[in-house]
Amino acid sequence: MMNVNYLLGQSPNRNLDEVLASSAALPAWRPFDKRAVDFVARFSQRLLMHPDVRRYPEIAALGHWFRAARMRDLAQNYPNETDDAVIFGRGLAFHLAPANVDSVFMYSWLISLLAGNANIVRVSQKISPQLTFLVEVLHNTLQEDVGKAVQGRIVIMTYPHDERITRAISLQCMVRVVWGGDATVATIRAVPLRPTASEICFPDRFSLAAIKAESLVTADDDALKKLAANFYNDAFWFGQQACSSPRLVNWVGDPAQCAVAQARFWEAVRQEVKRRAPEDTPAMAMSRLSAAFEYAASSLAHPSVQEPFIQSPARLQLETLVSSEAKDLHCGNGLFLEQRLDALEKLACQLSDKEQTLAVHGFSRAEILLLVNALPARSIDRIVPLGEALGFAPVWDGTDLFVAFSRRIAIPKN
Amino acid sequence: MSLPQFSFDLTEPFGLQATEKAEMLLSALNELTNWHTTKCSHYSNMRQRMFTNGLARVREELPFLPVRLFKNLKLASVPDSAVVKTLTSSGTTGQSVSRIFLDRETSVRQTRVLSAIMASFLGKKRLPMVIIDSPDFMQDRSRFNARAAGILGFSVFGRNHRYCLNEKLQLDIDGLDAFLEEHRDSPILAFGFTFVVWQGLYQSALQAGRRFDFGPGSTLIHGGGWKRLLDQQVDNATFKSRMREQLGIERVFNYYGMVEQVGSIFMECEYGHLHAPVYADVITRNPMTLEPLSVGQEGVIQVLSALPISYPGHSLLTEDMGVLHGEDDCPCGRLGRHFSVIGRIPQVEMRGCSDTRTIP
Repeated sequence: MMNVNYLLGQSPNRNLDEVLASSAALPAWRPFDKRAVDFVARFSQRLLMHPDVRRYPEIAALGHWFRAARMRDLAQNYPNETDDAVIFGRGLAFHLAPANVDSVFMYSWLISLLAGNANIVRVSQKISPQLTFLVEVLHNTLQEDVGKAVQGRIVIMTYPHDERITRAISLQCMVRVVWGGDATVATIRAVPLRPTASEICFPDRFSLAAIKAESLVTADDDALKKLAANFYNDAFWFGQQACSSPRLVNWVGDPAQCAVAQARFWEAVRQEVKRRAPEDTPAMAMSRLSAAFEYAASSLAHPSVQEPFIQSPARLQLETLVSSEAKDLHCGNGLFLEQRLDALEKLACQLSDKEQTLAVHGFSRAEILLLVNALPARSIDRIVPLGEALGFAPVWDGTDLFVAFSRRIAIPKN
Repeated sequence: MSLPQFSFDLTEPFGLQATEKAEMLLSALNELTNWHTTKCSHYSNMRQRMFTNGLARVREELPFLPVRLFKNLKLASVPDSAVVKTLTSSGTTGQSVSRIFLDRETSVRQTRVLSAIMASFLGKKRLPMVIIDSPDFMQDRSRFNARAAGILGFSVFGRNHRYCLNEKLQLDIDGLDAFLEEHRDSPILAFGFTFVVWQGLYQSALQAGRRFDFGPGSTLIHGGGWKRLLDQQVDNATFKSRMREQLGIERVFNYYGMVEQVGSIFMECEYGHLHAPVYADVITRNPMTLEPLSVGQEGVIQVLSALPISYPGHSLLTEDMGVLHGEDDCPCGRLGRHFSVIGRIPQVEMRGCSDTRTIP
């Protein structure tokens, strides 16, 4: 009756109740248990050695992130035993992936495995080539000696929209991790968990960049080129659709400086886009154009320059403070909202809990701290140098994933 | 501000030469641009920001709206009280639909131009008419969408209407037999949506092993898009030959049109080209730069129509790709631009962590 299809870790069409019973019965491990570390290291090695990985730079980055040396460093930060506590995974973790597998989501469940959990992962019914590739490499790694110990600790499944299945898994898991749009998060949240279970949600977020105009006015051509390349990495990977992709560029300085800086910067970005030729289809162009008209219809923004507007990077000058409406209209695909500010901290009053990553260039630590101290509650999870917006860190959306995926058993101090 | 006039001679819907048509249509469309700028604040905001403000000197300079906007914005140039009919597009489940607001004048204009075009293809005489759809579909007024509106609009060109499909879109074979027998001495007019005709009429007949003979001079008019048929590798030529073989219909005319632009019915001629009538036009543009294209180049289709008073739909950039064949030079003799539609702009997969799907 329950239409679950297992992509990894279970024989196809196995009864869901049996799978849940066996997964829930698996012991939690300590963080960075050698068995988990060896498996992840081997998986990362296989990813990087695979000839097809070149097609998926985001997967290469994933493989690189989980290399053995990195995990040794990480393990130093997360001891599995202290004076007064022993640390374990929480138990069974249930991960709900976004409709198209985002690599950030892959990081989170590998971290869950490293933290000591058994994992059930629900992916979208529409299987992307990236996911097929990852599942194949995971499968091959599981077949090796190093895979034996983690058998059953990674189950990847898909099922059609069926609340009963989500409910059944939710009642067995100790932690639930939800990635997806706001509507998805709201729907899943309505499905109850065990009283002792915890939940982490990663909903839609909005990200932005801020550039100090002065720094660009004086920058030489090489510095400018490097900055454009960094901005390209932040904004053009994933078609500007990642939660961390900057969609609003804030220019800080007086109007004259900003005008010069904008002209120099966007020309450099245009050259970079031309050189690296990201995917840009008629459908993407049409979505930029339609979004621009919608901004115009509500007097929210207008094209920054009078040129064939549709071409990427397409720029829109905000006419009002950035509103939730303005954030929701944004469609990615190489569209940039812009505004000018007298000082970085003036940005604070325009931010909300929707904002995740602020990529910055040219500001002093003091200027950044002025902004941080003025931030409204829950806004901005990370401020990074321009070029590192898409980089992954175990603290994501303000949550330390290793901590969230594990628990501490207090013991008497010696 | 006085109502933009509609002064086209509808006795000759394909009878104006390029220079005459250009002047007449451009002045009507410029007048509509000003009308909607005054009457619709969203439109005024968009025009002011996205286009230079002056009047267009050539059709390519006319401001346009991307057709997708009608899904997300309420765009009307008349007060709600003047709206006599709201049309919606027949979007598939889960997609938002366009909403188009018609007042009496726009609605009357639509009826007039449709009659004029049909008369030029069918003559003035009303023929016995088979509607290739289910009568139940029409009774559900909550779904007064493009398909229902099309059926109602075209019904006036026939008489003794017979719906030939049941609510599951299966063919009523006996009913169709009886109808064709009863009207054996007259040509038949058949109308339906392209995929409904294919699936409900043609494939049902094929599966039942039945051939029909609609009789000499019978005509099928169909529209609504090729997407589902192209998925099954069925093109226009295949469609026509199957209609002839299985159903005995010699005259098969596709039309191109969209609910977002009332009155823009681009009918296919005997040579397979779609034709712009005197009060409407098409432009093709490079989808990446929006530069206007010339004959023979594939691009995204922009449609123009002098009809819409009640909503700003007189110049729309569609999401369909097409190619112009020429102007005033189709071998069928009809004047005006003639073109073909190639298909929809392929949609991209959404990537990243924000998705709009919901999973329970």
